[in-house]
Amino acid sequence: MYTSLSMRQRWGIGSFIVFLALWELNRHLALIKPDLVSSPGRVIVAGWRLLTDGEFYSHLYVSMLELFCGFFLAVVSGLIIGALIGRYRIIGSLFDPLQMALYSTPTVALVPLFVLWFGVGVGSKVFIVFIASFFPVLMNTASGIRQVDPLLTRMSRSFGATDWQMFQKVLLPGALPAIITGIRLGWGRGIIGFVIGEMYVSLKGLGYLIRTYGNAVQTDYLFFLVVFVAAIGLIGTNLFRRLEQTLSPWREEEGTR
Amino acid sequence: MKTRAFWWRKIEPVVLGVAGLLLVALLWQLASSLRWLNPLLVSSPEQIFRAAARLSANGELWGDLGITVVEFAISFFAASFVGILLGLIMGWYRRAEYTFEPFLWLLFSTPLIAFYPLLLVWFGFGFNTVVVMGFLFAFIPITINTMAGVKHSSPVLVRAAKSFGANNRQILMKVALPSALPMIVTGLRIGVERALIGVIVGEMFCSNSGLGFHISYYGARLETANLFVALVIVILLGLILTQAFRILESRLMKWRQN
Repeated sequence: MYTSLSMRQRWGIGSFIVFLALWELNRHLALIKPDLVSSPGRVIVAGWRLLTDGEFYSHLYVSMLELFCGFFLAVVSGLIIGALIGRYRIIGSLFDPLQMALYSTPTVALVPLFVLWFGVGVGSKVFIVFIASFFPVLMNTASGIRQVDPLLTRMSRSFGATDWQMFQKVLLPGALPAIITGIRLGWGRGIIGFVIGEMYVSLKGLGYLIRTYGNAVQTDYLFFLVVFVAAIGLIGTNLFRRLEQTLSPWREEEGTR
Repeated sequence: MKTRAFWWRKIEPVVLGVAGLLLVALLWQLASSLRWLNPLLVSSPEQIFRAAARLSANGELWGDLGITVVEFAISFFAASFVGILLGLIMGWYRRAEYTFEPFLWLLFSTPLIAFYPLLLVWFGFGFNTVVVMGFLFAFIPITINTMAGVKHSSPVLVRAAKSFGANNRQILMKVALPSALPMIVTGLRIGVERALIGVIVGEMFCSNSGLGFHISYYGARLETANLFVALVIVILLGLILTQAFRILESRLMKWRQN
């Protein structure tokens, strides 16, 4: 185990270094037009310039505000509605086709509509993040609740548990690993949501910066921002994944997008 | 009595599902007709039907649908081909896996849409860029799932094949590939979803035709009924494609268990 792990790391790090070296070398050899792909050195310089510039943090603040508001709303409402759908068969079947349709909709297609409804500012992005992360949370919560051992629910019922007690003591703990999976998938989709929303139309935010630098073909800034956003996504995803593994190392997830 | 209960249980989800859809449509129509919500912004089922009839009569809808489907098909097939091939190589050769895996995860977690200005420079405005965007979105999950499938093919079977004198190629084609099939299909299903996202995003940002373009075009012109027509078609497209793969997936799972 130890040797295979270290071999994986050796090859991974090695290939990454080779990649960075080739990328840097391209600036001198110009195999691909250097303006279009930048180089690691210039990306770091651009990143330093952005991070030491106060303007950047106001963009970051707007994006994070959108991301966290939308994500929080999605988790809360996804949990509540998911629990209802998972618990009560009639509610479940009533909304099943609707939920199926919206789950497999590319949420980006809703962006223009949300801009019409909620304006070009923070409002529309909060809702885009919301709708992007809502469905993974909802689907996984519902399927998690459905998968709770029926023996446990029957037993708690026969010991006279009320609906609320059963939910609190049996269903929620049983479905928790699935719920965390949903939250993790929702986080990833929320990140893509705010970037696309801001790139589509916005006045401020990381997506706005990406679009501005992209259209000016200032690739050093563009690449830095892309890596920055990817890092936000990766940190959250790894956090949730770790939480998931401590809660239940064995289960499989519903839909990975 | 018992047969009736059984019969009801079978059709109950369908009846309730249709009822749910009708209920939403009815509420929507009421909200729009009674002006609880601004009809200009929310449109209504009735207006959407009219718009759909108009757009399909003048052929615009079919043209858009055709373009989007062609773009989707090309990007999905290219992504499947590259993804399965790369996944097989990475699943078979450990060093290939170690070399390429970090880049795949890196690419998977980047917001790919950010690269559209560069894609525009390289591939030009329109069709090609949209196809490339769909491809980039779709090929990663296909690769990762194929790799996982090949890697986890049962070592007992591989050893058995080896002791009967199968060469590497035979093991790959007769043992590893078939046992990786369910994982590959799962990867393809996720790939379908992501290719569609990529194509729609691509059309919204760097094209002047297709359903994605018209969603954003009608949005900018406040023609909400037309926007909803394009949106509903996109939703149906996504639904049909993913459901087809889900059915295939569960069939394969059953076949494996037997």
